[in-house]
Amino acid sequence: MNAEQRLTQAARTLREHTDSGWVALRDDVVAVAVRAFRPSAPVRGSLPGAELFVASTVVVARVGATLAAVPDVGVLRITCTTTADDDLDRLTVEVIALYGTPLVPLADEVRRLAAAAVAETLGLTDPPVDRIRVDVSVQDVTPDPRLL
Amino acid sequence: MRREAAGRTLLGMDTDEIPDEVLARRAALLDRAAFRVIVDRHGPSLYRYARRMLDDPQDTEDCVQEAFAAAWTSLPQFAGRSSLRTWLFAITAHKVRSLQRRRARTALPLPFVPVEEVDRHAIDPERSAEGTDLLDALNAALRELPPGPRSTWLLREVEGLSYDQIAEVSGTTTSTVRGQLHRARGHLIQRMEAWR
Repeated sequence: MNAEQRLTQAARTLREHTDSGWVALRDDVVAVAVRAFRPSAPVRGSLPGAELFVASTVVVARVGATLAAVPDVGVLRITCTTTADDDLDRLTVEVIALYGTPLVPLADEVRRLAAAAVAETLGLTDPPVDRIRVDVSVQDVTPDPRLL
Repeated sequence: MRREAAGRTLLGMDTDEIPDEVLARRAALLDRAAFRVIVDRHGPSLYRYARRMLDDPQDTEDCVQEAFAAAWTSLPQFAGRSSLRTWLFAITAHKVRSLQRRRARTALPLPFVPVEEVDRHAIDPERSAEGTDLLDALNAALRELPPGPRSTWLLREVEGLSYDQIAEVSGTTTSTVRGQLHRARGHLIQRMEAWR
């Protein structure tokens, strides 16, 4: 075996190698990383006798978790827009749908569930769809369920 | 075509089948299970790269930890213009460079020895046979390379990134990548000649 072949073999060996340091670190990596702060705007909610502010990342996460239960759709992005007074102005949900799914009923269900999740998160008791503007944008369709 | 309405959690799914782009957007929505899959999928490569760039276990640990924390924070801004893997390598390479700069302020750097001046018997074949193996010999030879060529060789030959992806990770041009790769290969082949 010449030097070039040895180098190729060494590279292959390294490629298949997992450092013991990684094995020891793996669990800590996730635990520490998810504690890192994500910059987020406050969103005003409603609390009897007091003010309530919820980070927009929390609103987005709650809506995302709710929509994960909807079949035939995947959430691409959720964005919150707030007013100068931190009131929620608009929630935009961008989705990808499974090819062949009727889009209008799907968008309506996404909108209804998203509004309900926002209302629950912010403590809004009025019918949420009337008060909360939710825009649904179907960005793409795919025949591959793994991409949802 | 309609799936069960039980929803999509990662529980019970073969996570190997979930594409990176899907994991990235779920993690952007604070899905920790998706982030854990990303860490499991790419962590070994990022650690392997950082370990050989920093040559210090504690610095490597800090680097990889910081890189994943930065990824978690920035995932909502990840637009998918590059692959998730390239994006993660870019974050890690940036952390590596930061740590190297920090080190350089506190210690004298070891100068790179040009290929023609390398002592070809520094990796003693006898010693290699006794106490080390091919991987140790490669690690020793890599340590002799300056950061640029070392990074480029690792990203190309071990991690399989394209020239364009390496240029993106390193913030340089593909012609520089080609030059660094040529230089690294030349040095490493020379060192491998001494190894039996």
